Amino acid sequence: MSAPLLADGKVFVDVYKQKYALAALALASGDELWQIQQGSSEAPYWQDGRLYVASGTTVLVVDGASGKIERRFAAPTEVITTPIPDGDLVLFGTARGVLYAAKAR
Amino acid sequence: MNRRHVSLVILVLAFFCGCKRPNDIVWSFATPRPWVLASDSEILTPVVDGEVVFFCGGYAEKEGSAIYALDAQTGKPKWQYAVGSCVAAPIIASGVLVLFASAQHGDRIVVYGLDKVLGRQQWKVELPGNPRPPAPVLVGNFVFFAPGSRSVLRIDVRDGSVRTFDIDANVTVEAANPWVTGTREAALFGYGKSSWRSRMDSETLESGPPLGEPVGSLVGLATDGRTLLLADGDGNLSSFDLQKGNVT
Repeated sequence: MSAPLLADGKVFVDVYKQKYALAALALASGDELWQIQQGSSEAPYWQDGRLYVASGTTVLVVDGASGKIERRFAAPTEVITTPIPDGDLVLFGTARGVLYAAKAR
Repeated sequence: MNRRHVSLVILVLAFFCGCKRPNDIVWSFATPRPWVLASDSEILTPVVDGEVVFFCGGYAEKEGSAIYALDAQTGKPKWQYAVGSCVAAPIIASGVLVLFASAQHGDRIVVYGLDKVLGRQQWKVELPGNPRPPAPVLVGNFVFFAPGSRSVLRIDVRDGSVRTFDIDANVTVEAANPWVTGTREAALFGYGKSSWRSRMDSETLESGPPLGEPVGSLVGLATDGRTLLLADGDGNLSSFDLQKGNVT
C-alpha cells in the first residue's frame, strides 16, 4: 500500500494485490468510489481535480472524480517517483536515475 | 567484429541504458552512473520552487547521490551538492533547502541546510542512523523528524538548531518509529496508542487523543487537521477523528 492522499473529501491510495491498483474511497464512510488497475508504491499527486500517478513505465493523469484516465505518458524505464505537475510540464524520475519533464497537455 | 555484431551491441546498449526517448519528453537530466549495466539508481520525488526544480538522486550503491537544482523549463543545472544517499525529498522554507541524507550506508543520517539559490551549506546536523526513517514534515519554519523510537526532533530551518521532544508512549504493539505529520498550525506525532501535538509557537507538547488501535509497521499517513489516516504494512488503512481519537 502506498501512503494515502487526502483531497476533495476522498482518500486515494495504491493497493497491491498481485498488481497495483489505485482506489478512491469516500473519506466519511470508507466506501470505494472507483478503482483502476494501475499504480505503484509511490503516492499519487493531486492538483486541480486531477491525480498524477506512476504506473510501471507510464505516468497517468487521472480524473479524481471518475477515475477516468485522461492522459498517458510513456517513460523509457520504470517511474519511481511521484509525478509532479509544473505548469505545462510533468516531472518524474526513473530507476536509471534520470529526471524527465514531459508535456502535460 | 563485423558490422552485424556492432549493430547488435549498439541495440543491446540502447535497450539497457534507456536511450529511447518518447515524443512527450521536453527535457531530461541524467545523474551519473558507474557504467551502463549498473543496478538501479535512486531518485526521489522532485520539488518545484518558483522556476527551479530540486531533486535528490544518483547511484546510491556507491554513495554517489546529490541534490540537484535545475531550471524547470529547460532542465539546465544551476548547482549540485553531493550528499551520499537520499533519505527524503527536499523541503524548502525561508530560502533554505533542507535535505535528509544518509552516510556510511545508513549508519548516520545527515541533515543539510543549503542556500536554495546558490547551493551553499548553511548548516548541518548529524543524527544516529535509522534503517526505516519516516518522512520528515515541515510546519512553519520547523522540520519534525523521528530519528528512532521515543523521541521526535524539531529542526529550525533557519539555523539548524535542534529541539528534542521525548515521548512516553502507551505502547502495546511495538512500532518501528513514531509517526509524524503536520497541519498549518501544528505538528502531530504518535507512537503506539499515544499521540501529541506541538504548536508552532509553543515549546511544550500537548497530549492528543488516544488512538483506538495501535499502529505497527506504518507505510504512510495523511491528515487534513480533522482526520488522520494511517496505512500500515499489512494493507490496513485506518481513519481517526483527531478531536475524539475514535476510529471512523
